[in-house]
Amino acid sequence: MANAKKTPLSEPAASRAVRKANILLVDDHEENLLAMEAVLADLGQNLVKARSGTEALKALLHDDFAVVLLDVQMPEMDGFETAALIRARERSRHTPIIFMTAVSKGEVSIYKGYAVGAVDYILKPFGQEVLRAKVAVFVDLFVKTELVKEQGERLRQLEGRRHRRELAAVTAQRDRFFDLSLDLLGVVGFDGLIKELNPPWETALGLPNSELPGAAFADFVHPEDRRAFLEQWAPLSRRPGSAVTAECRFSHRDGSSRWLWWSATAFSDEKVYYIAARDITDRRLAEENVRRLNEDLDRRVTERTAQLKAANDELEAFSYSVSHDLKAPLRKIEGFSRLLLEHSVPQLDAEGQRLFGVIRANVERMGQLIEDLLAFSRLGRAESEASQVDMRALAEAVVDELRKAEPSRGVASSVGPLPPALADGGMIRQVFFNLVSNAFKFTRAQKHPEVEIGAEAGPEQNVYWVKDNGAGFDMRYVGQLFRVFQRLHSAVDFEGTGIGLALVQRIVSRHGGRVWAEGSEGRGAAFYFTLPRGG
Amino acid sequence: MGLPAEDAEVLLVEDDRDEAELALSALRRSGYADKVATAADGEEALHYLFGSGPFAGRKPGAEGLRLVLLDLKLPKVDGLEVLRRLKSDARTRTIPVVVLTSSQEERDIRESYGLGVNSYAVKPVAFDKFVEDVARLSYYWLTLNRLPG
Repeated sequence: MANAKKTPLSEPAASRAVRKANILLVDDHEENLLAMEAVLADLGQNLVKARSGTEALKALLHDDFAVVLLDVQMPEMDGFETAALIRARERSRHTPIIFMTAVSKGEVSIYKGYAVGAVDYILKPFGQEVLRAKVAVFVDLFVKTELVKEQGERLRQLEGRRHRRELAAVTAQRDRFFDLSLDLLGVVGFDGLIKELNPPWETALGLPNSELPGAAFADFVHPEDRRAFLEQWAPLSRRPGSAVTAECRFSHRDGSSRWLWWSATAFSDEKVYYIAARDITDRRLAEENVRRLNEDLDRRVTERTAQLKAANDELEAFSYSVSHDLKAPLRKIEGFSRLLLEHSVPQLDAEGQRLFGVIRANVERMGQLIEDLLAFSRLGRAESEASQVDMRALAEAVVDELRKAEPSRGVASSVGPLPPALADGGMIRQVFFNLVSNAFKFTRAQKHPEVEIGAEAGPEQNVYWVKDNGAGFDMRYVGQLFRVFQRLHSAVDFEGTGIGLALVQRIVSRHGGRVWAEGSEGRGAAFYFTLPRGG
Repeated sequence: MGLPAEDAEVLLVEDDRDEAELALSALRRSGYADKVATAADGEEALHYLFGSGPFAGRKPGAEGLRLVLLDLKLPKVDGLEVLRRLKSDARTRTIPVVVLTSSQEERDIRESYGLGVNSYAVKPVAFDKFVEDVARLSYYWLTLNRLPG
């Protein structure tokens, strides 16, 4: 016992060289113990002597032994009994036991020894070499086993250290990203208290990062958004691993608020929420700006529409007053001049009657001007309805009508195949009427007047034309053609108010089409217009 | 001009003296209307028709009246109002009213028909044409048309 030495695990490397195995010698005769000690001393191991089974068990309580040399014949507790108790203990369950017996009681005794766990038998008086050799084997076994155990332990320690080192590296890496991130990252406990927030939160909340851990995370949510926030947050802990993404305002220390777009997930092992967020205040402000601008635009469009409507109403009032006020005096001039003529016919000579005719002709012309102008302004207000228009039928009807108005003139006309257009039929009839009646009018001086109506289909717009071989016009003045009251011919040669083409242009523009003309003096004119193609 | 003839067949409501003269001239030429009364504004027309004001004592409903030629633009009470009052009163509802105006406004035509006008005619600029139109109107309303007894 006294010599028993503990093997300190803390210094495995240093102890390995001086490590001595314990050998327990158990015998109730001191001289036997001394004899064994003498034989085994030069093994250089630690010899522990016990004089009874009890003493042996005590020794085994404190130390591990390479081998136990156990005397079978002992008073009180014999060897077998002691061996059984040694085996019953966890620590010594596998400690090798060699029985020492003076006289063999025969096979039965040996068998009993093996049954209680002996690994070997040595008969007394023992041969010194045999004893030493056998014990040496067990010592060697023990030392090697210890070595293996020790190496295993060292390995475990090394691995533990490496694991800790790796863990530290991963944590450091995570921390570096945590600190480096431009987005807001954070960890909040299941209790709702902040564990860790990365530096960008300082900017978002206006508080030093040191003040944040331990504070309730929800307290930083803008009061008006807190209820919604808590509702979005609540399902997280019920469904760990699932993520929630939302937008809400957080309060900055300076009283302003920041819009954060956040995403969070719960991790039940650690009992924490992980949060990643992004400050989208600028984006929200921009959206808000766009919304305001749109509202402003809407309001201005409404205002402008109202102004346009007012202008339109004014125009309506104007044309109403033109129709009533301007025509009334004209009609009186007409009526009274006619009455005057009837009254004075006997007194008027030829010159008087001619002068009278001039007045009447101008009255008539003015009446026509007013009518045309009214038609023109009325068009601006007219509702148009687009439908499939059979352009060919329309053109043929107009040619027919004009031909009947001047049956004596043999105008050669041709109406080609005209693709249908998507337009207001009534208005387009007016277009054909004005263009074709112009063609009839300006070919009056021709011996063989010709009018051709044709078209070319396009993918979106069809081009239609009305060509004649009449008086034509100088291309230098083509720009004036479509203006109200503009005329390129004198009223003496060709009557007219200068409204017809302006009306054509107005109608075609209202349909999203274009009008243009080509011509040369004395060689005819061609008028083109486009309209959306029909089905 | 004024309002003669208790037994007028035609009431011409026209504020413009020149217009009235042309219309009377045309009516005369038609040969169908020689008993014509004229009112210079809507108020006078209503007094005449309902026997009030200067016409107090005259029997409301204007017996014998076969046609009212009504201008729309009138001082005091305008033509549409005269029309509304005539057509909303049982005593005058059956008197044929023809709006004779220079206005071709869709709105005027619509409102007149809404108030129950019997006809709407636009005065042409050419006097010849006007005379012809008035002759046709007179022929229809004073000769062909039958009124309830």
